[in-house]
Amino acid sequence: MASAGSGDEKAAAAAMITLISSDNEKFEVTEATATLSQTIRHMIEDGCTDGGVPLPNVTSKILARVIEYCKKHATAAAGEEGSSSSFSDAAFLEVDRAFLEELEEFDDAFLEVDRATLFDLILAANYLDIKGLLNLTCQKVADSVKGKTPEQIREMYNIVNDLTPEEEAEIRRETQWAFE
Amino acid sequence: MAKKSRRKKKKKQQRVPSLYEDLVVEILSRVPYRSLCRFKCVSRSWYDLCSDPDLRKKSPQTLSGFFCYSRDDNLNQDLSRRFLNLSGRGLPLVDPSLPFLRGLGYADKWTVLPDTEELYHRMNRIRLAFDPAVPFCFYVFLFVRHDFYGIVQVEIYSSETGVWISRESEWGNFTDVNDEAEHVFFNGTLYAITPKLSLVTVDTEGKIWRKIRTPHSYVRPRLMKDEAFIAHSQGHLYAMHIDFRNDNQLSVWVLKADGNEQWTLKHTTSITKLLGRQQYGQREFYHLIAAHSEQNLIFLTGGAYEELLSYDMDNQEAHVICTLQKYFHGPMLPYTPCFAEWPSDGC
Repeated sequence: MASAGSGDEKAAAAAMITLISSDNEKFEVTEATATLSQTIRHMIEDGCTDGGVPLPNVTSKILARVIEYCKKHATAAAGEEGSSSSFSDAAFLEVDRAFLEELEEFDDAFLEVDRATLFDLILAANYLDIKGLLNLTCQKVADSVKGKTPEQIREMYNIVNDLTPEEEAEIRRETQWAFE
Repeated sequence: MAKKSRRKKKKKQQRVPSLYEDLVVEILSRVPYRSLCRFKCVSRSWYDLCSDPDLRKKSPQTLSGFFCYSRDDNLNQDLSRRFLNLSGRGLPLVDPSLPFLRGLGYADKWTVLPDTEELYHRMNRIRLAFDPAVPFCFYVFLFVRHDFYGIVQVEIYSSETGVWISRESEWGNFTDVNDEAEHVFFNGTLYAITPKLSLVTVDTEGKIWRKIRTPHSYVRPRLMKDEAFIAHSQGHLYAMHIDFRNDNQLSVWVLKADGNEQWTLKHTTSITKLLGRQQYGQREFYHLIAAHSEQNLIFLTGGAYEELLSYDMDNQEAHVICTLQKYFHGPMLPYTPCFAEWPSDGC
């Protein structure tokens, strides 16, 4: 089907892929959406997507969120490809900027989840190899820990301090400037 | 919430519950260096993680200033090295006399290159190459030149192996590299510009040789060889040019990483118009001096007032950092702190 439609944008856009979550829920998505995942892109290239793509590491709850992200960003990627030649076109840049702002708002809203979901999204983004999503989610966690004290980190993640008081004092002395 | 924390307590020995170690590295590489140093106190495993060279390699490298030479009013005074903060203000971030090169226990880190006969030929050219993220690892590229055929051979020294390897040049006859030519090193490959404005590349093992025409070679009237500028940013090689004959039109091309040797025009703008200035004849020149390794940000000097400027390609804004009255405008060497080396190393 893919070869018959090659060169025809509409046919390519209409090509559908079925993704199957670990709890056996099926999701129909366009190829453009699915190929934001390098893992799925490779499967499509190898022609082994007939009958659906099983994703045993991703639950339906998380997969639904991942697809939501991919749908939004697939549109963005399609817009970007056409834009490179008209880089200096001021009118085009304006449209581009508005769309990027919208995308940013989407990303911010997308990240409004609890920590467990955020970690599951990171695992899914890593497994599916979706660079943008991995970057987005990792940055969110990084932003939540930066500026925190070691005590706060231990509390946030239930980490037991297994350093002896002497060792900790020694490390603190060496990294004194970071605490000032 | 209570349920969740119970589940986490079961896995409390892990650094961050339910994430693989490489994903924790992914997250911590996005944390500022200062926070990273603090996190060494969290636990033993966090200490190991935050001290891990792989993590440092992934952390962003930020250009923080330039080394340059002071312009002295008295001609007979020797030129002293200065450091110019990127903000254009404040005390230098590093002591420009680089005292740590002489003392503080770093002295034992000096490396004496093993002898090679080609080191002594007047014709030959040497390039030092290193990755700022990898401390104490460097390469030396020695171009062996023939007065008629150009570069015939390249000898490459690696601080890892401690030996020179010698490879016959695969760039073809009459390929040369000038003293003043730009060179860039990243991802284990050296990039240099030839007098005929081609880009030549060779990897640290002397296995992959490429010779690619640069966009500069297509510009008419023909460019002088010192007008061609190349830089590394965000994993890509960029070629840039400012056309002083045409309102200081800046062009930025990026070399596609797919090996097809294709340049894509990424950005153009007129520096003169951007700054709302007039070009007085052809007297207003700008020189490209550096590109930020993590952002679409470039640095240039020049103009009627001899300034140091930054230009952000994303929002198309130019800023004057400072005037260079006290400084020569060249050479200005960008400085990126090597966060990889910090005091608690090796303890």
